[in-house]
Amino acid sequence: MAEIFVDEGLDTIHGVFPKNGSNFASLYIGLFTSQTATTVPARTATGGAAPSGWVEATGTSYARQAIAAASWGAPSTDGNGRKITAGQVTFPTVGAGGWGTANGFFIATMVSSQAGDKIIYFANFDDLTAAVLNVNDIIKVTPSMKFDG
Amino acid sequence: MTIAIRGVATQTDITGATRSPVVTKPSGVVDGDLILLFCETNTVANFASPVAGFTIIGAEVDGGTSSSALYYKIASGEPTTWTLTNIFAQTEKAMFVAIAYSGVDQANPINAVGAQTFLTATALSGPSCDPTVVDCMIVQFAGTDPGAGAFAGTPDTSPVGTERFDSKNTAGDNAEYIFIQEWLSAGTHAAIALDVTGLTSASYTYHQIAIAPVGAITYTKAGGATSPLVANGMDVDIYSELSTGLAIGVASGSKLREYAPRYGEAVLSAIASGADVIEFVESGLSLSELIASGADVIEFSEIGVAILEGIASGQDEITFAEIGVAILDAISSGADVIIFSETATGIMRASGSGFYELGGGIVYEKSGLAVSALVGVGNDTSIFSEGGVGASIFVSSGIRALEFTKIGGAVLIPSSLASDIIEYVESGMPILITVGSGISELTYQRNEKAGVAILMASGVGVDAVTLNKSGIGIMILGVDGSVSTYSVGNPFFELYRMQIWMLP
Repeated sequence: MAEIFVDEGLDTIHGVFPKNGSNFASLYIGLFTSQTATTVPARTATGGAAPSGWVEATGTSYARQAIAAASWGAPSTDGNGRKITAGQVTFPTVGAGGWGTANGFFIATMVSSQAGDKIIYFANFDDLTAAVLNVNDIIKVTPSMKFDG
Repeated sequence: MTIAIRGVATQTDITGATRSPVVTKPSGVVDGDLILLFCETNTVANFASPVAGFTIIGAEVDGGTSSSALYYKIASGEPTTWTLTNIFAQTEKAMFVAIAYSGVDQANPINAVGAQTFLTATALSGPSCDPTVVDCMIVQFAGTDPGAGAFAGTPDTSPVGTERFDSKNTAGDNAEYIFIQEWLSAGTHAAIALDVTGLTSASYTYHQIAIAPVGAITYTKAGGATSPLVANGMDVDIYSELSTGLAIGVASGSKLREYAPRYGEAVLSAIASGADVIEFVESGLSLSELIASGADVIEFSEIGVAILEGIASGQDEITFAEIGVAILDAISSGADVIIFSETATGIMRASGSGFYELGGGIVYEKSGLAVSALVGVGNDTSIFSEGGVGASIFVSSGIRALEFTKIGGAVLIPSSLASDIIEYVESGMPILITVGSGISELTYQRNEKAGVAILMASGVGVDAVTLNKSGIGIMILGVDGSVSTYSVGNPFFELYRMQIWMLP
């Protein structure tokens, strides 16, 4: 599985700690249709009003889903680091026309692409299989993140 | 995925009476498609089921003059034609139309079936069926054996049906007629009966079904991202096999990167105090930039390539159990060592100002190539157990030594005080250039076998070339001012086999 904390995501984390910037009550999870089921955007990919280096899913009923801070569970040891996992997120039922092929998901700071939106990380799905999202399909994603020591 | 026709409805006329007709598959059919096969005959046929992998949906007889049947299957490695062995209870002439759809629920492709029936009329309705899910494709089939004359039908106008087949078989003495239309129940489901109008009055058998769309899929996914954080303390990464490791440490503490059983590639950039270690059990490529105090070590159990840039105090060490290539750029105090158990190429550069103690050594158990540029104070040694080429440039005080247990070539340019030594147990070719003021003692301790020596001395002190066996010695003395002693008699020059001397 490919995954990456992009530069602006790391900067965002640094901005909160140790620089004591404003934290986020919620983060948002979305789906990307660019790259492949085993590759993710480059570290230089950005969000904002005009995302660069990647393409977000679109289609009837598609929307990023909020992950409240409280949704993240307790950190636990995983390999050489500590991992934290959020509750499973269920996206809306795919509407007419479908959403395309989701090769993975991302965590962002805002509910949609707009000025100030920062991407924290991109990740493929653990099973390395894309989700072909046709009408009436439902996709549920359990996101996690980990910091190695 | 929306249900859609695949290719076109394909007609097969069976003009010769048979119980096992051969029917043509529509073009473009792929595995997973739903194939519907509609048959019209001019007699009362007893249709078999199943046949050639097809399942019968229904069969209808109009009372004695014609009959029809509707079959389906999910395409899976379909041939170009199907031989419908004994589909008829007796030999029949017939007309078949095969039509295929994509986007169908393969597990339960037929969601609803109207009660097939027959009617003598110019318009037919349904028979109605009531799908239970949205987005079903409603398909109506009608057939008759009208005999001579033109036959055609008009698809429904509300809802608007799409005509997929409307043709009469005129080959031979057959006269079967088949009409097919479809309508997509997009976004809804309700009882529906498609109407076909404008028919020539005849006795028709007709069927209507609802095809179920591929079932909605619920994906359950997980994933995440990992970021290595570097901070104070001991950082350890262990790779079991081939791995590429990148560790950047800007902290204090120890950074340890271990490639346990096999090989890997590591980049360790540590700006810290403490012990930093990269270990390879097998081969590896290591680039370590250490700007720290403490002992920095790169170890290879087998072959490896190492670049160690240490700007620190303490011992910096690159160790190869077998062959390797090492570049050790050390600007530090303390003992810096590159050790090769077998052959290797080592480049060691140490420079510093002020009082730096460079106890740098390159030790080769076998042959090797060493370039050692040492600017410092202390004992700097390159030792070759077998053959080797050593280039040693010293601009400092202290003892510089290049030792070859067997053969070797050495270039030693010392500008220093104290004793600088090139030593060969066997043969060798040393070039010794000294440019120094004050007391320079340059001694060729020993060349016990054959050798070639070139000595360019501009200094004060005792300079000697000693060849125990054969050898060629060239000694160039270009010294202004006082030159104290060139000891010839002890002996000043001893060449037991051959003597060539050039004295300015």
